Amino acid sequence: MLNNIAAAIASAASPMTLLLLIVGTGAGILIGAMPGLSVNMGIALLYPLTFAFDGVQGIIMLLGVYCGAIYGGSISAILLNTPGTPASAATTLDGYPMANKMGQPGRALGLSTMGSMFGGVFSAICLMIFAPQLAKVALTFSKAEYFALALFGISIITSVSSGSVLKGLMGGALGLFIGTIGIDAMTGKMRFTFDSTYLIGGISFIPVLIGVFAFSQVLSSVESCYDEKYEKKDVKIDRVFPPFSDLKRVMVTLFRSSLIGTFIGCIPGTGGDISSFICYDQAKKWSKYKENFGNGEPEGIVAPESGNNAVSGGAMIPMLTLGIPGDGATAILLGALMVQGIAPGPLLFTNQPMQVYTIFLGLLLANIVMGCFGFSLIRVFSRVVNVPKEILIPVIFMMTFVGTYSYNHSMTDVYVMVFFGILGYFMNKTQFSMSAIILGIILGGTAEQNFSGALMMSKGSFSIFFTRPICLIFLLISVLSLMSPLYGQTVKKIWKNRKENRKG
Amino acid sequence: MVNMKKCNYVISAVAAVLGVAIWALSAGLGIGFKEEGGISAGTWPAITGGIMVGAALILLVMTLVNRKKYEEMEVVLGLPANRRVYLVMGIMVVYCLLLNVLGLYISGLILIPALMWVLGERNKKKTAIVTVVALAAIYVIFSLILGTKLPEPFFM
Amino acid sequence: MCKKITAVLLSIVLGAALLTGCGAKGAYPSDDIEVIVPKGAGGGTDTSTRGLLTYMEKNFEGAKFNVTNNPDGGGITGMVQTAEADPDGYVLGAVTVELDMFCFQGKTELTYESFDAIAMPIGAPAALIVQADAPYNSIDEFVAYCQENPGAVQVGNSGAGAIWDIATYLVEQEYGITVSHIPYPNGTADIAAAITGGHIDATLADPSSFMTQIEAGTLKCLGVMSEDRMTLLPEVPTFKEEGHDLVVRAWAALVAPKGLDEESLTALRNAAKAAMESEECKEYFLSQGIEPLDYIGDDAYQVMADDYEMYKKVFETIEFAE
Repeated sequence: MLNNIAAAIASAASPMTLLLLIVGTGAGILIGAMPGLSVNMGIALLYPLTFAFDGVQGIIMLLGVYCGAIYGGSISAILLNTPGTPASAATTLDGYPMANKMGQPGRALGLSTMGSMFGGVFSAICLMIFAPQLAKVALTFSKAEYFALALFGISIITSVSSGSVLKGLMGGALGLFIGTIGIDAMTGKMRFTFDSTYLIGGISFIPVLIGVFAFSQVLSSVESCYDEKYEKKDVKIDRVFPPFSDLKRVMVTLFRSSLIGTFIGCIPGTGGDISSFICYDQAKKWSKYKENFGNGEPEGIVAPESGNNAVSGGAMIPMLTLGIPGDGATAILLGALMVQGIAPGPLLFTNQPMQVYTIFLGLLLANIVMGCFGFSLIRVFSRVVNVPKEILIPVIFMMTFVGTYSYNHSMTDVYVMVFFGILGYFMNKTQFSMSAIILGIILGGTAEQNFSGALMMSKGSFSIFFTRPICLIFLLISVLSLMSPLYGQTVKKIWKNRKENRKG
Repeated sequence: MVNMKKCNYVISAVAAVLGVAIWALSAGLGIGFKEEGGISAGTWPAITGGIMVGAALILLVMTLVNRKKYEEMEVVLGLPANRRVYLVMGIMVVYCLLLNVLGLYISGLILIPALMWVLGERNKKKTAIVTVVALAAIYVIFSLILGTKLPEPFFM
Repeated sequence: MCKKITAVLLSIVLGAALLTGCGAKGAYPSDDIEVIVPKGAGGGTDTSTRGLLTYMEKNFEGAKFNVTNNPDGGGITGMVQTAEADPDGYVLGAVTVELDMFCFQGKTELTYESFDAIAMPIGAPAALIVQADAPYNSIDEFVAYCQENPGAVQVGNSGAGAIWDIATYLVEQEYGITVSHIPYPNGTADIAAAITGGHIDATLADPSSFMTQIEAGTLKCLGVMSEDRMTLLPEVPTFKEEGHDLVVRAWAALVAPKGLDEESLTALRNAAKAAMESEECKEYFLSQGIEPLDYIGDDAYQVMADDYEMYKKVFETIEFAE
């Protein structure tokens, strides 16, 4: 076994591999930072390059793209309030206020980079140690559990609605409805398509995301920069790595979010977007600084970022141990491995241990390289806040159009983006939460399909939801989470009284 | 002067209408549970419609009860700053239409200077440089490196 | 002076943009060719199309293919996009077997007649896959079990009304059994997870997502709905052999919008032929768990036409659950 590890280290740490890794991670970060370019697109783009390299080297480059892209989304999320990938939508909630209102873009970027790197490394280590066990857990998830998990995700709407909870619910319902447009895969029927070919495909998610976050945000900037004198903000950053005080504050959140992210990653079909919101919500619930969330709370940045990068290691678990890809990116990785003669599945660990160790090391290195990239570029990226608005705003507008069009080459997507952008502008003014809408769109389909499917499997009996332990647990957590605004105040009062009684 | 109270009324009305419309359309798809398990196609949309109607009603009630509080919250919609936003929105819609006809680069040549002018930039040289650099960057990244197709003029 | 420089720069950019737009068209292909794949990245259609294109590039001077994925609506939007594109040879697409089905389900007016076929690299048959420790070891034993337990056996598919669901209905009709249809809209990977985890009993689907489990011995394949036995699963009998003529394959074909000129079409077909006959291409396909086919041009078109007729009959005779 030691031979294998030694050989793996030699292969993973060879100069060629490291070079490929740097190229891949760099490309990944850039692709992630640009709204409209997705992780899957980046991996699919660089995939043909892997044919030129033997063995696992090309795969490691793709791993770099994978990790880099998930991290890259946070850069535009923090600096421009525009998630570069759906997985960074939650990072805008506290990342942008810290960069903008508090004027600390460097600190925000530093926290996000550290969170991403920690989450990625944590999940890579979990992959190495617990892969077979976690794979077994992944297999126990059936439709009832997926429904309960999706319901839990939807219940987070009440938590991310920084404005009015009621309007958050309305926005969430709107998102859920948008998710139903198109062909219902469970019955084969067409819903709300009004004979339009575009609508049969459903309203694409990315244009709505870009519209609701980027476009509406830049419209708000047009308003806020009226009569604003150009002030060059002092963004001198003495240290890119977060200070010890910050580290202490977020330590628990780091571990919790990485754990949640790894777990969610290893469940096939769930990804960084769900994970980041759940981690944000949990961080908020357990934090001492609840009220600060939404105003630039460090925990609010670290939680979603470590949560979404931890998914990378988790998603590799079912892919490697069972040969079952969890999402589009891992599906391409699976194909890339098979081309090189590496056969993921139950026999992988016994037949090809050296390749497995190399992949593990590759993932670990990918996250470390990503962290290094991130920290070294923080100084450069923070300068973006000093770009005069007259230049920045038109450029971002162009970016939204180009990004939306390059997603599916559809002009209708662009119209959808503009529509939701304008709608989002007015909704933001009236205290709606854009994250609620996005959560609805992401999770609506999963919730409905698994609810319906679970009932199909149980022949219409609801007991399926209450007799399966994991499902029951998630259902209870969802209900508690949905109701939290109602009893949140009472619980706080009880705690306060207890504290005072103890003091007295 | 627009205050939150008026906005809430409008929002409640729109949400309620939308919710009811969704109900009506979902009814055509069938609401309820199927015999051998599973739900009909219209059930889940009907639930979302229901949430919307419910939230709209609660919002209406809350706004009525807390009239004073909401009246005091101002929603800024009429300042010159906002008018500039509406102008930009108009430009964007026009740009969408132009994209189809003139393609990305030519429309961009019109859009970027137009936006910069609206935002107060009067330095022609700066405008020109930003336009050229932005379009060149888009060309390099999207056309050359990524090879994605961008909207083309109808006469090409 | 600066003004002049800016003017020059502007005209260079404008000129370059116009030129790329016009695509100074010389010999075909003189520009990148866009290929629209109506399925998500990483699936069978996407993998086989990209694979074919990679090997076609090697056999076709100057060709560069750019693949975009448009999986919305089960692939309708992507296929419609291809059909509506200019038949100038710079937009191609992949179409899948669903093309022959959607027109009967009221989802679109589009049929295979809107396309000129180039090649068909993949035609994955429906394979009956069950857990390794299941009490049945052949198609007939499975059918017998289903007859004793009507409606109890849960068979996974990739969506109500989609191809694997139809394969299940065909089996029910042919053998006179009833099973429970459980849709997994996110694809065969989810079905693989569900069977391996023991949540459903069987599936009739493309075997490529299950190969790793079959080889590891956790799942077994009882039969395939193809013309001949698969190279990947040589011990598995076809339904035809067992006396029931059921051939259901999820094919994907590389096509061009109808009206492409003879010369370019022939050039593409030749490149595809050379690609599919090369050993490297076949090896690549096998490594991905895909059985390589070699239908070119008119052969591919014939398959599309045959399946169109078959599904026409299917949708007229089979009653789908409402």
